Amino acid sequence: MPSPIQPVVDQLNDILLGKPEQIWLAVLALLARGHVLIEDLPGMGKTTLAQALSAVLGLAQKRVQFTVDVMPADVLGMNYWDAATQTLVWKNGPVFTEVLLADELNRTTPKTQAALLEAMEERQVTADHVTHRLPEPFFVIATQNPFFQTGTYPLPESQLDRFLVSLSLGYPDSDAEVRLLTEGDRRSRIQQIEAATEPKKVSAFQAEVDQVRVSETLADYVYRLVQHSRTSPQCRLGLSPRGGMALVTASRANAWMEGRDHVLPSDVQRVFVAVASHRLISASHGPRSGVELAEQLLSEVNVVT
Amino acid sequence: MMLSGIKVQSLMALQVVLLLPLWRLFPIWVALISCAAMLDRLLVTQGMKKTSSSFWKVGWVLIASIALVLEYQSLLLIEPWVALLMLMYASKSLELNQTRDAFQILHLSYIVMMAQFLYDQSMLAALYALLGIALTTLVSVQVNSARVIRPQALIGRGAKILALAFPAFLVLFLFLPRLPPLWAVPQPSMSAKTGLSDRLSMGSIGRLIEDDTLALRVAFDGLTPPLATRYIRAYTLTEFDGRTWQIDQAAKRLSRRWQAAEDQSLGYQLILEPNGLNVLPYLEYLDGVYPLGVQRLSDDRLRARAPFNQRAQFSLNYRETREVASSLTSTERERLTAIDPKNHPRLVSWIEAQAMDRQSPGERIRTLRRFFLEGEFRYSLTPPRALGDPVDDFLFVTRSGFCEHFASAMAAMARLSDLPARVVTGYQGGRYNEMGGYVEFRQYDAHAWVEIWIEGEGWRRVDPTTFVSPERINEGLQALSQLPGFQNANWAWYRRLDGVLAAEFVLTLTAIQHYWDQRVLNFDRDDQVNLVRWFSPELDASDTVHIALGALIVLFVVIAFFESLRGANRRAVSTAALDRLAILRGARWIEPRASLLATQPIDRLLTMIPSGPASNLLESIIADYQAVYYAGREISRREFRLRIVRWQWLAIRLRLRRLASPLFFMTSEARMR
Repeated sequence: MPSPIQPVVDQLNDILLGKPEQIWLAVLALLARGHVLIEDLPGMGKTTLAQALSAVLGLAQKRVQFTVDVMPADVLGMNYWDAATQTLVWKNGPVFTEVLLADELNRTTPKTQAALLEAMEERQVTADHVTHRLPEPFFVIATQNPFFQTGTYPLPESQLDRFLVSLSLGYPDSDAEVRLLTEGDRRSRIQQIEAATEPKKVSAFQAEVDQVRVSETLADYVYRLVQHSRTSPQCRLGLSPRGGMALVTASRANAWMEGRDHVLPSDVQRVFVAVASHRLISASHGPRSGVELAEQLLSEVNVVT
Repeated sequence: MMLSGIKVQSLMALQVVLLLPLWRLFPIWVALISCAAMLDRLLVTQGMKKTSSSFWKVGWVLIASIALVLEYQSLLLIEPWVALLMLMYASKSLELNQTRDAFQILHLSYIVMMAQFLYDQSMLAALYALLGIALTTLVSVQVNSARVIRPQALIGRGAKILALAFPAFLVLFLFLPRLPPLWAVPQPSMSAKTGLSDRLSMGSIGRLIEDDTLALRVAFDGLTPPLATRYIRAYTLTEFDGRTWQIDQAAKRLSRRWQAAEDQSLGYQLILEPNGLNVLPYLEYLDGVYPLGVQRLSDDRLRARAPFNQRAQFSLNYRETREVASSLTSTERERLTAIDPKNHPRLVSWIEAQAMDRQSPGERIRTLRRFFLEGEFRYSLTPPRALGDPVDDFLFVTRSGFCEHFASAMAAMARLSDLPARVVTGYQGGRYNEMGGYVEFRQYDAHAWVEIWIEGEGWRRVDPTTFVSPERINEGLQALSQLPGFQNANWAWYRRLDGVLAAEFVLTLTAIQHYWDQRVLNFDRDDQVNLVRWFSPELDASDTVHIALGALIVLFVVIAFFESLRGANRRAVSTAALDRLAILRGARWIEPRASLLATQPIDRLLTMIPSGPASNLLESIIADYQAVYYAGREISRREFRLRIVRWQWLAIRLRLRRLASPLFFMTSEARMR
């Protein structure tokens, strides 16, 4: 039984060519009330994905381009003195939106990074003892340039943990690229998109995802995966308890998107690399990338024992 | 690998248990020499002695061999061979160092266990062998294990092995064709029990009567005939020398006639205990065909080709009246009336006084009968000794004796009265065993009576004992226990049965023994055929082989299947893993190349099976699996296991069908698509 989110996924696939798995994961992260970290080179369609997503879901979308001099207030908002009313007035920053594209997050200073990530986690902004709630749903797509580029501040592990999934778009395959070249920029089509759903429904979907059943047998599997990441000699840093919970949450969303009311090991396996790769640090002799490490760990744990 | 002390000790214990019933039957030195070897090894194990020297081992072998040669001197009997087996079995303990030595002992154990059946095939022996088998299994479980196994675990494992072997045993017993021996084994020189002999001189049956061992049993197909008519005939004694009656060694063999039993005749089964004699006793009168391997002689004796050294069972027919006989030739008549009158002067004068020659044969018999009835004869088991001619003394002086005196004397009287007469020995009466539904005849039921030839009628049975002591015949021997002679006689059997309870106990025991002999020991080819016919009337003897083979193959497949299941299960911890393996196994029957890594979810299997009815089935069982373990559907584990078994069964059937008919499968598969 296809889930009610399937039209959204189909529509996104129509705009962003040749990236079905990434689109799937992005929608999944949104439904799981998580955020997405895209690690990729510029020009791979990150912005297109964010824009298309918000357009299809009928969500408001904003974008922050991070540079070294972007300050927390530039993102979160600030109190300013309103001369007319003689009061301090809170001015919402770009974070007050439903879909936020945080471009090149690792180009800005840790201070600003931390401010954004805190807002992401708590879904609220506190300034001068006043708490401002962020809208529901709130979904961040952060992009990160690969580390080897100059002028970056790599996100610390504790911060990376806040992203539910990380993915990389990569180059499109030949068919998609040819289509891209012949049909021109797909971004122009975003304007014509009719929203396939509405924010209220998205919240309802999110509530449904929370109801997806996780059986003991499955929890045991997730536990063993997490445990293995902590004890494997390939791993310097394993999954935190938050990482384990993220894995379950993502699996729930995946199960719901596949039209089920219970999580199967295949759900866990489908999301595991995306959920775990940015949370793991491989040992010096281990695989080079987090993706390889995650794949290896996955292939070392039995589904049932 | 060196054997630990506990293993050596358990092997020794096993050896002793298996050798015990054989030691009982063999000269004491066999037991002593075997014990010496085992004791030596035991002392080494206990650390009380250093390892035995080669000198001691060679010496032991020499002593054993010399003793064997001196004792038996011949290898034609089976005893020296069994003794050799026992000695070799015991001697292995001298060389019991490594695990492979232990295996040799264990394998020999089964042969030694079978050796006791050469001597004893009773139920008790079988029970003892069962104990031996169980013990051997337990010891071999222990020997095969590196650790010391707890007794409960040991018994559990042993029981499981035996339980697995049981169906195979059943199939082999029921269906494996009973083959004649491939080579002749010299019969054990069994000391046959005292029984009837082919001669009768006064006093010999007196010994018999005190013997309470079982002689034979008769189970009737219909109603059991009354006590008084149950005469079991064994020997016909025609040669009389004035003191001893003997059989006619020159009795002619009658040609076998194919003669169907008459309608009114009664079939019965006769189970003969081994007695070392070559005569087959039968219930008078014989009707129809007599068994193969048995000859019918002119004196109404059934002679077997070989002595009965083993319990044997025969199917015979009985009729109430004798068939009308032809007349005697003059030479025959002469032989059957042959008697030397000089031996019995008093009898001769008495007969002359009766003016017998003017009487008809019937009248003569009545005269003789009257003599016994009026002569104050007494039935006694302890008759006084005869001083002169035993016949004269008995008839005119002591007038006290038992059946053999009466029969012997009456036959002599008949011959002197010019009536052809002979003595018949056998059994009479017997005791009905209600539990077993058969009549048992013990050696004390031995009896002797007279047959007198009457022209135009044939042989007429005359039992002089009935003239004097009708109780002996009408109420069985037990009634006679009131007689004075019985009080002193060695009347062991009945005295032991004082209480009714004890009597019933013995009867029950013999009934069980009867059942064992009938159903187990004598389970032969005919029974096998009857068994397979019970399944289907068209089957015959040759099908038992096929059934045996088929059943064994099925059995092995089933055991191998569950064993492989068990092997895989040993690695699995949870029921989820077990069920997963079971589903995977089923999938492998359909598609042998299907394989699933333990790290792959079970629904991955679906990609490995070609679509069709099998994959639909697989899909549903996987859906069930996921529902149980992931969706939390309430479903009983039993029900789910049942579904998995059904799935495996379907998978096997699909596979077999494909193997059996590739063409059919392909077309049907194409049709499915």
